[in-house]
Formats: sequence, C-alpha cells, structure tokens
Amino acid sequence: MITEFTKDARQAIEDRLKGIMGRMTLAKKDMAEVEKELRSSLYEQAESAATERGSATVTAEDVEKVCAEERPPGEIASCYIKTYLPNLERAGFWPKAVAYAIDSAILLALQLICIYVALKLIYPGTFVESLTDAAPFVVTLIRAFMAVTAFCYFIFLEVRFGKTVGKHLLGLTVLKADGARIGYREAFLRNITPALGFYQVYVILDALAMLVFFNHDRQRAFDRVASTIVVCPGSHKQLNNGERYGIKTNAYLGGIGGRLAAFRAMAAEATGLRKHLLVAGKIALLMFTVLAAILIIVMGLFIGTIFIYLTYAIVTTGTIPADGDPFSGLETNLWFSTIVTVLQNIVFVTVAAIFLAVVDKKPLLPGGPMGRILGQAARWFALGVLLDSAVILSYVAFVLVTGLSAVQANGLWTYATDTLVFSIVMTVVMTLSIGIGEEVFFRKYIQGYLSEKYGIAIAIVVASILFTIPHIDPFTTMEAPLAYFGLFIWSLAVGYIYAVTGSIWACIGFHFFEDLVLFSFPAKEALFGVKPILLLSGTEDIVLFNVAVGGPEDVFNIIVLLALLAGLYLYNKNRRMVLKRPETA
Amino acid sequence: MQSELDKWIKELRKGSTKLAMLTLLEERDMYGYELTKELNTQTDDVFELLDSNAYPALHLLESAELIKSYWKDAGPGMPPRKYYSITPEGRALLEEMKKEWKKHSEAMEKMWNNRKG
Repeated sequence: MITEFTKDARQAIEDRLKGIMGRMTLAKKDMAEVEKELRSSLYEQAESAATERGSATVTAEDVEKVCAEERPPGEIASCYIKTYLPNLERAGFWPKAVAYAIDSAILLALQLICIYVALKLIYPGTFVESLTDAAPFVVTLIRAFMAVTAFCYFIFLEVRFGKTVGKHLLGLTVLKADGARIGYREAFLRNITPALGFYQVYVILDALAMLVFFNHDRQRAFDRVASTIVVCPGSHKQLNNGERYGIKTNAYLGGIGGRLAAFRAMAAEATGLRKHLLVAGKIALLMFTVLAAILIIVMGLFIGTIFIYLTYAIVTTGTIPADGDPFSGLETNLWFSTIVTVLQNIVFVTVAAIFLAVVDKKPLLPGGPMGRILGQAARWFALGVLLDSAVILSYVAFVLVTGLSAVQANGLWTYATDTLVFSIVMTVVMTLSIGIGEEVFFRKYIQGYLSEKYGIAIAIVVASILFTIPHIDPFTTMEAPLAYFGLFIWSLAVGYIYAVTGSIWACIGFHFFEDLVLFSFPAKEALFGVKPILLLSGTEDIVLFNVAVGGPEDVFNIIVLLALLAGLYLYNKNRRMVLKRPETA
Repeated sequence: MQSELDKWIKELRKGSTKLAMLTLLEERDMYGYELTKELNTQTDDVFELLDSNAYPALHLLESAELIKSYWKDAGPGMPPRKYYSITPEGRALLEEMKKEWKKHSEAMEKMWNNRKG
C-alpha cells in the first residue's frame, strides 16, 4: 500500500521539525543528521497513525496526534543535546574574551548615547564638561544605569537566544552544564561579574578562576556558580569516532592555532547575515590595523624628528629655539615626506602579508622559478605604465591644449640640474612605494579576498570605495566632489585591470606612473616638497547650485577612464571568445 | 508512594533499555521507528519507549561503537530511513549483559523463595 501525505501533513511535519531543531545546539554535522533522523521518524509515526484509522492518506491531524503523544519540542531538543554534549567543544579563553570585548563595545556605545543625550538635557557644554559638572549622585545614577542595562543586555539575549551578539559572531552558545537551555536564574548568576564588573578587576579574577581552577570544564567562577557552560557548536571535538563525523585529525587539537582553524572553518561555511558581518568585521579590523600602524609610525617619526631637531638646536645654540612650531617645513621636506611615504607603504604591504599568512593561512609568494616570475612582473608593470600614460598624459595635454591651465613655472629652467635629479629620484622612490603599498593592500588583498566571497563585480566596487575614502583628506582643503568621483572611477579601472590581467604588477605600474606624473606636473602648488617639472595654474571649478563640483578636466578624466574600462571590457570579452582561455586568477 | 514507584520504574527502564535494544538488533537490522514499535509490542508496552527517547539512546550506543548505522531508501513518498546494526563488540557485550541480568534475576528469585520457605 502506498501512503499519500497531504501538503498540510508535510507542512505540519516540517513545522514540528523546525520547532525542535530551533531549540537544539549541536555540532553542525550532528544537526543535519539529527534533523534527517527526526524527519524520517515523524513520517513513519504519522503514517502508522493514518494506517491505524484505516486511511491511506496522511493528514495534518495525524501529524498533530503524533506530536501530542510526544513530549514538547524543548524537552526533545534538550534530550538530544544531553546525549551529544561530549561532541560539543567548550569555548576557551580567547573566543570568550573576544566575544566579551565585542559585547562591551556594543553595550558601551548604546549606553554612552543614552547618557550623552540625558546629560545634554540637564547640563550644557561638551560631554566631558557635563560629566565633570555632574553632581555626585548623578555619577552614581550613571553607574547604576550602566549596571542595569548591562544585566538586561546579557540576561535577555542569553535566555532568549542562548547567546549575545559577540557570542553569536564567534559561534558560541551558553548552555546549562547538562546541555539544557539556560533560564533567568542561570543567566543572572553567570552574568554577575560581566555586568557589574564592567571595566573592573572582578571580570579578570573571574576569568582567571577559569584558567586556574576550572580550565578542564572551561567555566568561569560564576559559570560554576550558575552551573553553566559555553560551547562552540561550529567546531567538533576530536573524538575516537571522529572520522564518522568527517573530522580532519589535528584540526581541532586546541590552542590558539586550533581555535583559529576552527574559527576559519566556521567563517568559510558561514552564510547569509553572518557571512556579511564576518566579512565586514574582517575588513574593518584590516583598515583599523593599517590606520593604527601608520599613525603610530608616522607619529613616532614626527616625534623623533622634533626630538633630534630640538637636541641639535640646544647643542648648537645652547637654548631652546623660540621659532615656535617645529612641525613647520616638515611637510615640504623631500627627505621627510619620502621616508614617511615609504614607511606608510611598508605598513600596507606588511599588514596585508600578516593577514594573508596568519588569518587566511595562504602562501605569501607565488611558486615557480624566480627569473620567470620577475620577467612576467616586469612585462605587466610596463603594460600598466603604458595604459596609464594614455590616461594621465591625455589629461595633462587636455588642460594645456585647451588653455584651461597655464604653465606657471618651468622646473627645467628654475632648478639646478642636481636638485632636479635628486627630486626626480626621490619622487620615483615615493611613487613606486605608493604603487606597491596601496595596490598590494587594496587590490591584491581586499579586492582578492572580496572576489572570493562575492565575485569580481562587487569586489571591485567595494575595494574602490575603501580606496577612495582614505584619500578624502579632512585636514587640508577638500577637493571638488567630481575629483573624488574621478578617483573612484580611476580605482574601478585599476581594479578591473587586476581582474583582467591577474597581475598586481600591472596595477602597480599604472598607479606608479599616475602619481609620478601628478607629482611632477602639479596644479597650483608643489606637493610633498617635490620640485615640479612644470607647475600648472589651477582651473576654474564649475559651480552648480552654489557648489563647486570640479573642473572640466575632472569630467574629461572620468570620460577617459570610462573609455579605458569599456576598452578593457571588450578586450577581455574578445580574448575569452577567441582563445577560450580560462581567466587567470 | 506512587511517585516513588514511578521513579524506580524509570530507573529500571533506563538500565534495561540498552539491553533490550541490543537484543532486538541481534536478530536483524532495524530503523529507529521500527525498533521502538517492536520494543513496545514485544514487551506488551512494558517499555513504552518514546521515539524521542530512543534516538539519543541509540546515539549513545553508536558512539560507544556497539552498533553502527546506515541510511537506506524507504518506500515511495517516504524519506530515507536510518538503519542500525549490531557490531561484534555489541554482540560480545550483549552476551555478557545477558549473563549478568540472569545472574541478578536468579539471585532475586532465590532471595524471595528463601523468605517463603
């Protein structure tokens, strides 16, 4: 006899399954297996219920009857979790600490916004002023507010979802020690230190208790009190029957390396919102690391230079120089700007290399004979220079030929030959380092990483946005919007060159030559202490609705770049059609 | 009184479910639902095992390598079934368990008979 299932019956079975699986926290592999098993069981039970009443059609009522005889979904789920508990890996110190740091940041941001708004209403002035003006009881009130909101945040999220935002991002879940979901009692007890010990020593003591006393169970002291555990269902614990779960041996042996591997595996499998959040988080971390490193190094160089300058002045004159601003003149000192630029781009390359090697565990350099690699690199570099010369030289020619810009000064007549040669050498060093640094960072790493995740189109656009933003310099006068838009289009073109040629050296050549020409033929004033070959006068901006949007040369530049993009697109299309060669990655 | 008895019966079942499952699987391979149904009918509902109880118990047996599982297609319109089969280790343990069980129940009988006599 063939049994039929009505659509409603199938739906009822899936609803029931969803109810049970939604309350389950198991290793991913186990989840799939359990779901399959439970589905099969529900179908069998429903079928036999229908057979019992002499029908060959299983209806939703049969499914409901079966469900009524069984226990509620939560109990079934916790029964499973209990048996599978040994398969779940306990979260260690680092994932927990990172999750807590993320939660603290979110919480603090929310709290500060509330406090700021509330204080603004009572006390005028800046945030710091109003904080210092605030009466002592207000400070107590603020502390109480922070503790209460922290409690609410942790307790509500952990009871409702079994995890906080930080734990979710790191793939952690809080459970009772026997595997059941935690209730308000457990959530309250285990969060006494995280909520009250905000920025205080108790949290550290609590975590230390875990490392010293309860490291076997990976419980903090207050986890012990609440009898709760934190697990990471994304990774599997190495078991004697590990192969059955398809676990690679050695992958999850613990330690920071093991956890990173587990995190990497989790990130690789992530889908939907979690995938986007992880990608965004990684890019944010990357940008932050680069920014911090550059600031520290450049600041260090500034302070070092000033220190040497002052020491020199004191030693030679015996007094502290009274000419005030020791920073003045540095930005037009060619030595200084070359060193800063080279250091900055060493940071770009180093950070990209660290991320590639440590975070992604990928090889740093391509394999193969060195001579061939260098030869290819040189050819791609030359091609990049050639492509860019069409763009940038036509740009310079455009402003001169149309008379939009005139030659203000000719460096060839103004400067002595040795001064000019020195300037050109330094400019080449500077622009070559910019080409290498920015292209390796924005194109090779960011665009390469994003194209693995989302494909080439999205990768080029996002990498170009990330490339354009740091070029908007808030410290000097803002350039016209069209100039920034032009830079964005320029970045798209370079990104597309990378996608088409597959060689970062083509992008480096392109970028290097662009900056070399821009530095050598600047408009209005010399840049970074470079002695210009030709100093051009600026052009008049077009004014639309009282906003200076940019000059005609910006429009021309964008048109040329769009033409280049179109040309590259057609070339790539034809090449693939004629040669049918797989695109180099 | 009733709840004390319930508690004791629960413990008794917990201890004997493993033995009953291995006994059934010794005969032939079965899928989860078939196993619980057989268990209930063959023991006249003494066991009254729910499906949701049986699967975790089977999983524990499997991770102890006493039984193995494999997926097999069921009839049309039905999802595939997960069949369980006993391993040589499971068989060996079952023999030992049976011996122990008999020893215990005989000892009990003997105690009660002695009282009567």
